Amino acid sequence: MGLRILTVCLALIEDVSEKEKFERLYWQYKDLMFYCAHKRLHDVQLAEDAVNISFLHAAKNMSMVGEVASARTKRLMVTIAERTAINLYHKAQKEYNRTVRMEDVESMVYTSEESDRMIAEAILELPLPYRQAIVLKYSQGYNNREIAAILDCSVAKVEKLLARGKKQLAKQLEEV
Amino acid sequence: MKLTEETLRRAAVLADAMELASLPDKDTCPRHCFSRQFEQEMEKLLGRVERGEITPYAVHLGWPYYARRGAAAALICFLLTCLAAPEAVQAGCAKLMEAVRYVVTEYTEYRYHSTVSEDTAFVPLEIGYLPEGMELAEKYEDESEMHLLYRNGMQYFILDQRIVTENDRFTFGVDTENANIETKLFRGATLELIYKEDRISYIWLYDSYHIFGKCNLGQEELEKILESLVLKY
Repeated sequence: MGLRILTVCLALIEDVSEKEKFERLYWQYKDLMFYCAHKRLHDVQLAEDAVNISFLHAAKNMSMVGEVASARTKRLMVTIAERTAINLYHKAQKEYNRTVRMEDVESMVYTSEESDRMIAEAILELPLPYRQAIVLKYSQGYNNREIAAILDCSVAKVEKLLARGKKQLAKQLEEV
Repeated sequence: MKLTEETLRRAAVLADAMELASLPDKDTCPRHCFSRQFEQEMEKLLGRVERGEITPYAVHLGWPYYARRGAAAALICFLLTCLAAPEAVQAGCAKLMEAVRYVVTEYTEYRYHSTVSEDTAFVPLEIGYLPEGMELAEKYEDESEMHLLYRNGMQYFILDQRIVTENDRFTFGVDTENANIETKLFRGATLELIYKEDRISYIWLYDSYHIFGKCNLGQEELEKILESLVLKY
C-alpha cells in the first residue's frame, strides 16, 4: 500500500516537474536556439521551424535534461538546434557546414596545456556532425545510444561519426 | 602528436567550453520576436507535454525517468537476487559493478559503477572456440571498445566488449519484455542470460570489462564460447 502511494506521488511529482522543466527550458533557450539556427540557415521562417522541431525533440528526451540552466543542458539544446538546422538545410539546399571561427572565442583565456589547446582547436575545425559526436561523447559523457537520440540517428551512425571524426582529427594533428 | 582517449577527452572538454563561450548568454542573446504561427505551434506543444502525449524515444536511456518508475521494482529485484543468488551479489564486489538496475515492463536498464583506474589500457578479448563454420562478418575496435559479429548462415554470435573506468558514467539497457532472465556466477564474474524467443542476450562483467552480446546458438554453445575467451595481452 505504501509502495502504491509512493508510486502515485512519484508519478505526480514527475508529471508536474517535467512540465515545469520543459517550460523553463523553453524560456531559457528559445532565443539562443533561434540564434544558432538562424546563423546556419539565414532564414527567419526556417530558423523558427528549426526551433519548433528542436523543442519537440527535446520534449521526447526530457529525461536527459538535468539542471535547466547548466552548461550541460545548454550544450544539449544547442546541439539539438544545430542538428535540426542542418536537417532543414539539407531540405533547403543551403550552405551550412560552418566551423567555429577562432575570433569568436579570442576573449577566452587558455589555461590548459598547449597540446590540449591544439587538439581542441582541431576539434573545432572538424565538420559539424563529427564535432558534435565527439563533444557529446568525450566532454559531456553521453553514451552512443544517448548521442543517437540527441542527433536523431542510429547508433551505428554515431559509431561511424566518432570513428571518422577521430580519424580526421588524427590526420589533422599529424600535419601539425 | 599522439591522440589518446585521455587527451581527446581533455581537449573535447576544452573545445566544448570554447564553443559554448562563443555563444551569447541569456542576458546578451538577441531577443527574437517570434511569429504568431510559431507561438501557436509552441502552445500546442506545451499542451501536449502537459497532457503527457509526448512519448520518449524508444532508444533513449534516461535514467531519472526510469529511476522514478522502476525504483521500487529495482529494490525488489535486488532483494530477490540477494536471497536467490548470493554468489551473484558477492561477485558484484569485483572492480566493475552493477550499481543499480531499473526494471520496467519492456526494458531493464543497468547503471554501472567502476573503480577501475582511468589509465587502464583496453585489452581486447580473443575467442578460442566458435562453432564450426562461423566466420567473422563485422569487426570494430578502438581504444575502449570492440565489436565482433560472427555468422554462419542464419546463425550468429555478437560480442561487444567495453572497458568501464572510474570516470565513466555507463548505463545499459536490454529488451527484457516477456524474457526469462538467469543470473549466475561464471568464471568468477556475474553472467546474466536473457532468453527471448530464439535468442540469448548475455551481459558479463568480467574484470574491468562490460561484455554484452547475443546469439541464437543455444546456452551450451554460448557458454563454451565465453569459456574460451581470453584477454589478448
